[in-house]
Amino acid sequence: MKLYGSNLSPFVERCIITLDVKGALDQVEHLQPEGGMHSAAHFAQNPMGKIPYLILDDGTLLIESQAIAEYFDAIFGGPTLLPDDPLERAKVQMLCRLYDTHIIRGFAPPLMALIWQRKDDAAIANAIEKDIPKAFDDLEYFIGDQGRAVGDAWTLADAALTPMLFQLEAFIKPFGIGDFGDRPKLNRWKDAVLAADIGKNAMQRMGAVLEKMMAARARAAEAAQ
Amino acid sequence: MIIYGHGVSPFVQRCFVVADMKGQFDAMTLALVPDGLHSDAHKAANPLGKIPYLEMADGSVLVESAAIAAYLDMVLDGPPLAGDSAEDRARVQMMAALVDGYFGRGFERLWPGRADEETVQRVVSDDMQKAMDALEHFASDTGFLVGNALTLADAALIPWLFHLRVFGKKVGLPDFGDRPKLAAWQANMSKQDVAKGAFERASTALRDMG
Repeated sequence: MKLYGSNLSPFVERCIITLDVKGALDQVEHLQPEGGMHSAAHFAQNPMGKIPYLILDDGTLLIESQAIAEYFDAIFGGPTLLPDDPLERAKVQMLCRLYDTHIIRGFAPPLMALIWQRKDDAAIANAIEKDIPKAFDDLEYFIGDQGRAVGDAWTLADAALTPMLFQLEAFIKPFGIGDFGDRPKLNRWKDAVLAADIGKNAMQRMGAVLEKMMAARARAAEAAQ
Repeated sequence: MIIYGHGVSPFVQRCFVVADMKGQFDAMTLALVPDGLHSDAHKAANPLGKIPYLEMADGSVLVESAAIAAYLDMVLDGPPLAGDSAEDRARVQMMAALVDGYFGRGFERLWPGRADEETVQRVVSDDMQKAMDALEHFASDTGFLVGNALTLADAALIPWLFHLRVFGKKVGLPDFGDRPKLAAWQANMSKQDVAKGAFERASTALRDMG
């Protein structure tokens, strides 16, 4: 089966991290849409024009990173990233959703500025002063205190939230928020994740893509002169 | 179990639809948020200040209707609603995520007072069309969103039927348009007690708002 999308996307990384924890990275081919994002080929494969998307061996298309990540968790061996206990499982899903609905929404204006080069100063100011601190407060409230998002082992919640650490350093810090401030559980979680190979691998993958993107941009700027 | 929120909210109704699908409607109670939405009491119970939230026996809360729905499916007796195979489970989740992330996110802006006229028209003619195209693309052709039985995916979309009829109609979005699979889904849901129940409950709740 084939997973499409750039590691710079936190939603693609959610799926990759899931595979990494399960030791199944070699079971899924990781590709980029032919012709790049939003190309004709991209829309032909996935009418939504988004990433990640997964094409199974029989041609079935699956979209939505949480659905793909849970699918990977179900079909591959290795540690399970969704607890059996219904309440713990719900907490994992809840935290994944908090990334989708709160964190990424607060991060959007700085991300738009640096990745898509669409800078909205008012939106960025609002994100830095209000939305991001509030999102961090919400996360602090619900996140676990044992160095993992829920319980004491890797779950999909860690897979969903780990990309946030890269985004914080690369995209949010330039605008004024570089860490979680005085939020002990988030700080504990961050330290534990970044000390682990799984966390380091994610930072390395995302960093490599960002570096390539910046280099390509620099070359394009030079060529334009 | 107590769900806090208001009966008009499609996210609240989703939880009751799930319980109803399991045959456990009576296991659930709907309680209004103490002191009203966004009150200090609301934020003390749920710092997100949103609905629904489910209060657990130990006083902690579960938020995010998708997570609550999946939880209820696991803990309540009755037919399983998450899908049988790993692939079906992924499809159920995918459809529910499309309902939440595209249909719901767009439709929220169509509620009275949420957006100006220009935005409303753009949402109706652009965002909602894309959302419905996506649902149509991935929906099963059986009259259910996934497979041929009620699942969490149907539970996510059923509450929106009320909103289409009441609020959508006012802005020129009364139904799913010329989309055969969704039309078949809507026709099938009109025969399902769980869908009728959701519609009636939302209708009553809206009336009670005055």
